[in-house]
Amino acid sequence: MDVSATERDDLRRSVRDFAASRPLADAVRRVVEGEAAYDQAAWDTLATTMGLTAIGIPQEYGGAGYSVAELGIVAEELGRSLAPVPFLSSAVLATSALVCCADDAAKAQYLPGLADGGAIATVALGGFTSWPFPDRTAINASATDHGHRLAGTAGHVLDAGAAGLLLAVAGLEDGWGLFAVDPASPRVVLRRHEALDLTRPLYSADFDEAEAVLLGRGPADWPGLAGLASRISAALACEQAGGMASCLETTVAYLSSRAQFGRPIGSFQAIKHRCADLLVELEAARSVAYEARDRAANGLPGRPGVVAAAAAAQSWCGDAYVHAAQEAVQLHGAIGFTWEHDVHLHLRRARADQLLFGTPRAHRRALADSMGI
Amino acid sequence: MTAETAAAPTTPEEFRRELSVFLASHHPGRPPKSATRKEIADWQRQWSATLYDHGFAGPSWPGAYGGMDLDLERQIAYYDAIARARVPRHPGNGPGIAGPTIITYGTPEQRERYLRPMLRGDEIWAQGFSEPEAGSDLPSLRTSARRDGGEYVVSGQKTWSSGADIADMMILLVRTGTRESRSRGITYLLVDLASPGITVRTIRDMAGGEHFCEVFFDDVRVPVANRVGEENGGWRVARASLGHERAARALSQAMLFRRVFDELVAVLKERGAFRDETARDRVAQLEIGVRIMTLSAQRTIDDIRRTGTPGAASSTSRLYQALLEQRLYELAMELLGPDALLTGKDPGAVQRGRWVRNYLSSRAATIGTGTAEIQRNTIAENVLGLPKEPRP
Repeated sequence: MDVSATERDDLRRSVRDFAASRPLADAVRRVVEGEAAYDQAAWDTLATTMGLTAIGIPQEYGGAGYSVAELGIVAEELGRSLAPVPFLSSAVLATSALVCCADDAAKAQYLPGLADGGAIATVALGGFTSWPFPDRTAINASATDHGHRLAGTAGHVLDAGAAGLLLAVAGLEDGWGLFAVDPASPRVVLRRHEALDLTRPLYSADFDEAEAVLLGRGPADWPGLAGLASRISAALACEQAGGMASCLETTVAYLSSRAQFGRPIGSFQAIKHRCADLLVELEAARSVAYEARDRAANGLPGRPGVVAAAAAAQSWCGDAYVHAAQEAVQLHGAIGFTWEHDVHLHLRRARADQLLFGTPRAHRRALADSMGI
Repeated sequence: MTAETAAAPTTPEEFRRELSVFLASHHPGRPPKSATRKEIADWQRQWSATLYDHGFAGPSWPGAYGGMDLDLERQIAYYDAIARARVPRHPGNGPGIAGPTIITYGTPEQRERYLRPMLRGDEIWAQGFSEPEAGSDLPSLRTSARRDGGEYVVSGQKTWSSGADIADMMILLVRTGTRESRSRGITYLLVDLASPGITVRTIRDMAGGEHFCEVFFDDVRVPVANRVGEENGGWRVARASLGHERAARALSQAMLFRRVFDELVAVLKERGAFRDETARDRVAQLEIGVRIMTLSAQRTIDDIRRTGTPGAASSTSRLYQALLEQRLYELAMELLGPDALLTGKDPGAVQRGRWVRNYLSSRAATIGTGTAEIQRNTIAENVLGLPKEPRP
């Protein structure tokens, strides 16, 4: 589907307005204080009123028929707000897993529910020791008379408490499979971690011979899995760019109003130069994230150009968001070190994003491989 | 659609091939050995003329002035092919800075007189902006121009004027207002460097090069017809020309960096540097930097095409580029190790000493055309909107 520049601008503006709304800011705090695992009202607005959960899903499966390009725009704008909703887990990870790795019947079964937001899903990927492929030993599947059973542990599963459907990428004898698991099954044990990022709850999932339905399978170098990794990297990079923009804007506003020595502290060069450097990094992040997003949208999954663009984006944006958040804390001075101020929430999110889906160093290793060095 | 693309309905790929064939068949080879600066400049001039005469000069210039008026895709293809072909650079600042300024702000007579010879390399242009006492604080410049009938009489001194020794013409900023008038009292002139009263002296730089010049003006007469814009209105014109410099250069620089970086990777690979995992990581990091440079340049050009203005990415790309250039040569030195120590004059130098020579030259990247510190001030104040430094 061809999307005009104007449509994209409209989409961006509507998500930005939503991300900046007061109720959402209150919701962030409720989740931070542990009163909820996510904000139902914000999710309803996002899914039902705005239709954002349908963004990355083909029309034939009840989706809006947009691509990763538009998914990235939504992720970028939501990233500004730390919106405590399972958007990344359900609308990006789970949706992408189904789009990239599931067969048509499975797509038809699960995608319409994810599209209208009535269903929430997440993915147990089981850690990345050799990006873009998950750790082979983490979760394994064995065939039974009726289907499959999964055994193993995924140490880092986002938003599992909100999800009614758990997708798992597990090793098969001759490759990989994507499986559906019922998180309420007694053979699945979810444990919520006390984790760094307070706005996106993190769980572990233990599978003790849990019943699982095979949704799609592929060989050891499954392009579907590589495509999934590229989509995750691209959308996450956009989210990171949005988070950076928020850090910088908040910081510039503070520096313009806070006065010491009889003048706004933002008029001091020592401060200004650090902000200028952050803008340099932010514009670079946008350039590399947009490229990854558009390549993932238009390129064939697993192709070197798509993989390299995704790796470049994750390496740069992962580091740059952390830097922006750390600088935001520093430039806010003592107020930035308080629990009440939101800037530490970005720092927490930035670090979690940087380490969860392949570290920058792992992405650079993948990039070096693709360069043939 | 431009007249150019309508007349030649080739795809960007076909265009690139056509250009590559041309470059290969007309390539002037290596620069003449142990040549003087003037001989090198003449060799560059000849190449500019070859390009012009075959319709391959001025990719973003309008066709009316001998340019190619290419769309974005073809500009990218153009700069890529040029960067890879290792052909001579155009000597001086004409097509990148002086030309776009004259196209935008010049009179019809000025456009007619100067643009085509500039593009063809028949006339080389230099820039006379900085002065010994006006570097980062350019609006304090003092070189004066007094009106005398149909002429200005110019007196003063310019410095850091790159290539003034081999140039024929100069874009010059002079003070026509009071000394306190700062940016409101500056006028933009086009000056023939053969005029009586002009003395040019080269300055040796830390890398051993001699392309910077001091230029002295002793009652030099410049026709009023050579003024660009209004009297005392030159600051706006000059700032716009700095903008052109940025937009036009971003893409071609990016393509050049890509070529140089690929060559660095090749020489390191040949020498087995990538057995070290840290070296792989550092090089991958720089690969990302080079990618970003191209992507940001493409974003800028897309923004210009879509909205008429360069947009957000352009505000930071020059500083980004300068820092990347330094990182590239720093990394080259680091990963070549002790072998990087021999300069081009030593027979044992790696690739005729290009890496150490450019390492030294790259230190100017954060000084010339606005220091990195001034650029950071500009970004912070003009883009981010942070409060200005109170004037003492």
